[in-house]
Amino acid sequence: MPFDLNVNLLISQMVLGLVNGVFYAILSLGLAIIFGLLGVINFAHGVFFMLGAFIAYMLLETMGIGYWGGLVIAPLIVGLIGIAVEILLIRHLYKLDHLYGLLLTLGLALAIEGLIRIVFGQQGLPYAIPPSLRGAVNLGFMVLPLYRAWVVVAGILLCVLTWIVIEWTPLGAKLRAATDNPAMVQAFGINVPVMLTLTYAAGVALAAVGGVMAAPIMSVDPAMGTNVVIVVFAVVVIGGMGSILGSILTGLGLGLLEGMTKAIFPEASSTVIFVAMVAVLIMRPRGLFGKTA
Amino acid sequence: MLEIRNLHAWYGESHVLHGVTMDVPEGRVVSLLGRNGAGKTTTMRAIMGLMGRTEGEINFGGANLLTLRPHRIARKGIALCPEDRAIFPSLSVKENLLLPPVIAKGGMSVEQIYQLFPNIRERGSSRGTQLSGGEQQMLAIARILRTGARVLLFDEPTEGLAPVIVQQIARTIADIKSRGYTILLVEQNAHFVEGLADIHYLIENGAIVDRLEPVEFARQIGRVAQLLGV
Repeated sequence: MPFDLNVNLLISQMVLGLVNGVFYAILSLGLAIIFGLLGVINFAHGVFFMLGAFIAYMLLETMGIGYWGGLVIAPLIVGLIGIAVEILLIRHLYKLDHLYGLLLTLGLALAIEGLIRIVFGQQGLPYAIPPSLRGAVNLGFMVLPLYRAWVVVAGILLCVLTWIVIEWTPLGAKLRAATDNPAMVQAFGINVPVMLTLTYAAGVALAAVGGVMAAPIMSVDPAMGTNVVIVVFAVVVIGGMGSILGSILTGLGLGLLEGMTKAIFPEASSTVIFVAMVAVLIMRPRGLFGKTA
Repeated sequence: MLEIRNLHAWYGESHVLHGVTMDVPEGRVVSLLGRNGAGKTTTMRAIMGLMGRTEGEINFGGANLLTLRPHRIARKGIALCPEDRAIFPSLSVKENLLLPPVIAKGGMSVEQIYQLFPNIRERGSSRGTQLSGGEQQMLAIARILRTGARVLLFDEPTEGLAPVIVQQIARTIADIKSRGYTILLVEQNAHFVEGLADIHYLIENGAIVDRLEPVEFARQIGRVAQLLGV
């Protein structure tokens, strides 16, 4: 009976859904920041998520650097790759239609993913949960693995911190102003090209943090980025481009929706986000938090 | 001294400045008057490095500004108050005010700016675009006074504003002038610049057609106003 509802099951699935929601939020947040400032629909975002996980894996296997070191070093390395990608490729497309950025980053994603497959093979690689986060907490209605609780708390904190930086700091004001009118911001003496490079680097580094956090949950797999980024683009469509807070709330909300569907009607759990996307596109084409159509 | 020599500029294939030559001496107010489309704003944009294709020279502080990127030009001490005011809609009034980085010592403090423009203090937490046209213009002027830039470019600061606000802006620019700033003031309103500017240039079809000292300007103001279509 698909509709035989068990409240404990529902709540526990929602909590687990929140874990996915955190990854959706981190990724859609990075996409929103990059699109807002650079006007580039970064289809390579999922690949940077995957690279975060692979670099953490390599750091552990080759240098013995564990999870906590990986959580810092892998995003830094991915940020540096992002700087190179922006300077060598993406900046040549700013004056062109958004479609060109999407095509370039899609090609880049396929190339990097292919390269990782050649080097590491098709199989997922295991990445152990760090010893300090093994075990579980009993919430009464469910036993929640400690690592997943950490992902939810740290992921939400990371999103909120990013939102605070963008909305409430002078650095964030510069980013928002450059989104409104980059030429004028540059005429005030701010080096906008460098700002664009660093924003792209920060956006993909954020994806890499998500990738490292996902490594012990999903196995480290060349397709892990592509799998998640398809859902994340649906999240972005539902939330609407251009809203930082909107992308965070939509990511978390859709994770919850997905978890809830797993408890109520598991067969629909992998499609419910896309059904929501169609419904939102019909009723509110600019998305739940989008500013313009 | 800001020296503009034989400045040409293009929008795509369209050649819009045809050899503009003019000087803006240090500590003086220079007006640049012309009809819509004469090339006033384009001249301002060229000085700030915001035009795609340019030829000629704009010499300032030992450099030809045409070879520099906009942020480098701003860092040499030139600031623009643009025609559309360019208030950032995503930013509050206070964030708009504090956005331009301080590039040199000697700029006004926020407190001095609030004394000059009390409305800006009162509306600090509002969105910049929620201000009235006059208040937005005040904010656009105020935010470049903080930076320490000594050369200020005002592009039609009175456009679309009520006469009482225009008078207020005239008083403000006179105040700024008295503090020793170098000002290039683009206008269509000859009467507005009459008492303010030390040198007047007239521009037509992308070229300077006349340069008038204040006495001569006052004598010819009827002809100038007619030329500007005001």
